[in-house]
Amino acid sequence: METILQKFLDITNDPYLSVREAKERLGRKVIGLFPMYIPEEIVHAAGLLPVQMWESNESITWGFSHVLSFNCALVKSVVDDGVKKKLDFIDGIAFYDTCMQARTLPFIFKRNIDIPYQETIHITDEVTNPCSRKFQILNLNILKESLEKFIGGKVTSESLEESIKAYNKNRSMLRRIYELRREKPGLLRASELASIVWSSMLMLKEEHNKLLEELLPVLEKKQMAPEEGVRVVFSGTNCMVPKMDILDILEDQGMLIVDDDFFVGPRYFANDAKENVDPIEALADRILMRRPICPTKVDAELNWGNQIIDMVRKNEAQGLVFLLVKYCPPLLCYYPDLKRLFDKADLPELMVEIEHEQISLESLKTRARAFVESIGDK
Amino acid sequence: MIKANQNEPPKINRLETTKLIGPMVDKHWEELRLAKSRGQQNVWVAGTLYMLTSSQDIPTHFMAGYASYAAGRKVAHIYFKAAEEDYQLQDACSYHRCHMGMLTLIREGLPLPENTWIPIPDFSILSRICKEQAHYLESLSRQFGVPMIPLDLPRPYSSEHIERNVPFVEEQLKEVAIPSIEKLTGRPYNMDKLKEALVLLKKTALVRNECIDLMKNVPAPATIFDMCVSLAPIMYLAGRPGTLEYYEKLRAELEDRVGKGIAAIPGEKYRLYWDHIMMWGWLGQLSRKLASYRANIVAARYPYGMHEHAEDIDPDRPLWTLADQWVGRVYDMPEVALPYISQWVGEYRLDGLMMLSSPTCRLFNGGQLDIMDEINRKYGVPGIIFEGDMVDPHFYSEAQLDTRLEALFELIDGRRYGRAARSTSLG
Repeated sequence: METILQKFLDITNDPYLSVREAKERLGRKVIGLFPMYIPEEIVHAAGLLPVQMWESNESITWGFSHVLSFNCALVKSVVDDGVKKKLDFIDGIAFYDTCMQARTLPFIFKRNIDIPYQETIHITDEVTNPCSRKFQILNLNILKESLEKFIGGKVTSESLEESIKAYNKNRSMLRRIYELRREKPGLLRASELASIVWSSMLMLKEEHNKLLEELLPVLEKKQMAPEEGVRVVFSGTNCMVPKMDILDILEDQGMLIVDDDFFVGPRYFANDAKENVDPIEALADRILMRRPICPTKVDAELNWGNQIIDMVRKNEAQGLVFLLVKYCPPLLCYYPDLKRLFDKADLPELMVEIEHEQISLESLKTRARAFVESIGDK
Repeated sequence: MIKANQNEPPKINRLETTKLIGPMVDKHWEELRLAKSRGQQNVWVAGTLYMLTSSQDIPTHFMAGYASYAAGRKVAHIYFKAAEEDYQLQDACSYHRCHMGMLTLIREGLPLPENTWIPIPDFSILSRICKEQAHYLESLSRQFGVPMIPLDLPRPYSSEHIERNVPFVEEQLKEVAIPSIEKLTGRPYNMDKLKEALVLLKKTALVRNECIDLMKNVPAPATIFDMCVSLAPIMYLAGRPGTLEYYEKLRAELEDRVGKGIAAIPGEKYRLYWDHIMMWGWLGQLSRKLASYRANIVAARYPYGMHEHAEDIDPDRPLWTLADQWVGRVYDMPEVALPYISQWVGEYRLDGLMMLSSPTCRLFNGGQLDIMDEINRKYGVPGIIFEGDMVDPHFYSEAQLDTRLEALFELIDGRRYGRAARSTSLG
């Protein structure tokens, strides 16, 4: 199992190198997508390699000439990578108005970073607005047409349908892995699982599917010793890859992570796109799905806190760790409503603030240990 | 070394007309506060489509307007404290926290600042330019069950975006907003009233734009603080009685000053551009500080970007007009703003840029550094960036601003003397 797992870890340990190598090997141009909801399927169907943009592990330096320090880690890091020419293997990039900070990235990129293809579309967050669907379809068609111009060819319905099938297959296998972790906590470390999902965002889906096909039977068969540790679920991080070292530290303090609702997790693979219907409409409908609840979508009728509490109860978890990305407006604004609900439900919660520059890991260990012990005492 | 004159109080010629604003906004918020007791509905609006309901004689709240009012009336700190005790985090939008703190006090039955708080609305309209504005209405709905009308105002990155976004917003107004308002008020929507309000807004905004034009005079007859406090009559008071008269008075006073050569800042030495929303809680302090250097801020994308294209307001196409004015005609996006700021350098004879960077308000922050760079490279006009906030005192350091202003004025002087020396040696 370690050998197969290592293949996923190799991809995520150095995403710059692995995406560059995949580009050369596959002969596909690379299109970076600013997370979370631009459909990769359209880029894939154009014969390109879509990748979700990620946060580097380097200090921000040149980027501070273009973004202010109180932007989130992902925004600062993507700009920093861009101006340092670390993204020179990327042939194109597509943005949408994810949040107030991501909103101005197209301006900064156009002015400072030489990338041959750049597109900005609208992804609606008004998921209950009856006019949203038509406009979403229009915007996805704009993306498709601009990609067609870039490749000098057509993106056919057939190729879109094929892409959707490959993506649905990937989503279904990732869902199964999550189910297995719920059934057999400790089956994978949280950082290993995050690596499996994140690598899907960096690889050609067909290749990732092959890796998952190797991994799944091993996970299905694996017998687990009786579980040890305090059962917890994780939430937060919004559009970012959770920091692997933080996941490891938390787990090492006696937490048994049984579920999460991360973007690098269920939010990425929870819903399939419909097959055998108009593919662009299917992809628009997938964007407009109201669950899993996402703090960047506007939906006053649903409450993310209830979804998290449900996740806790279904998994018989004893507590929750909420990873709050510093300077992330959707998380900042939603958190107080969540916290009041957690208090009302008497749910033990550890909130950890995540910044680009690393937080004090020693103090995190102490907090995590105290959290685990306090739950254990209950 | 540039030094503010510490011995003499800074000289500012205050306008008479702006004294009329206080009673106008007080009346507005009082009507909203008393609406329930008068058996009227009231509405909260996040974003800019307040005319949808204010034109129907429904007392209508406007998020930015209320937060600035609370700061101006020195009660915002009460809300911030309540918000913090209710888990709000300081990095969140200060307008958001201001409202959330008020909701906390209402929810918990705690004392509210007298004569300034406003009650829970009957419904809300989400029509945001800024994405953060969704969150407090969502929370209002979650905490108090207030129905929300969700509208999407996509921001423009280019003229192609405007072309497709404006019809989308117009469609939502027709298909979602109007039917929802009718349902929630239980009466037919009176489009004629909206048209009448737009007729008045157009007249008022055109006069306001003449006032802005008068700021191009050297010396300028007013300050940006005057123009900011005068914003309500074309924003949340738009289309209401007295708004046109206000701006006609202001125009007359400014024209009189220009005719007589009266400067708002006697001996005006530096003409500056301001970037970002105004720091509402520090209007007096900032105006005195700048006056002490004989500096005057004469241009700003906020508030000049609001209805600068008032000639395009078409009351016969009321829903299209709202969509066009608030999707295609606002300068929040750096792509849209930069050409205007570039144009203003010459038109307003700008010497420098003051860029407020607010850690809690991301509406104008993105791209500010590149805007400064572009204006400096192309026109040789330097800028400074400093931290502060519209209403939360936590983020503002007066010492930081002083240091940066002095650096800015030294740079401006250095360039002036350099130019003068070069022209002498060439001459």
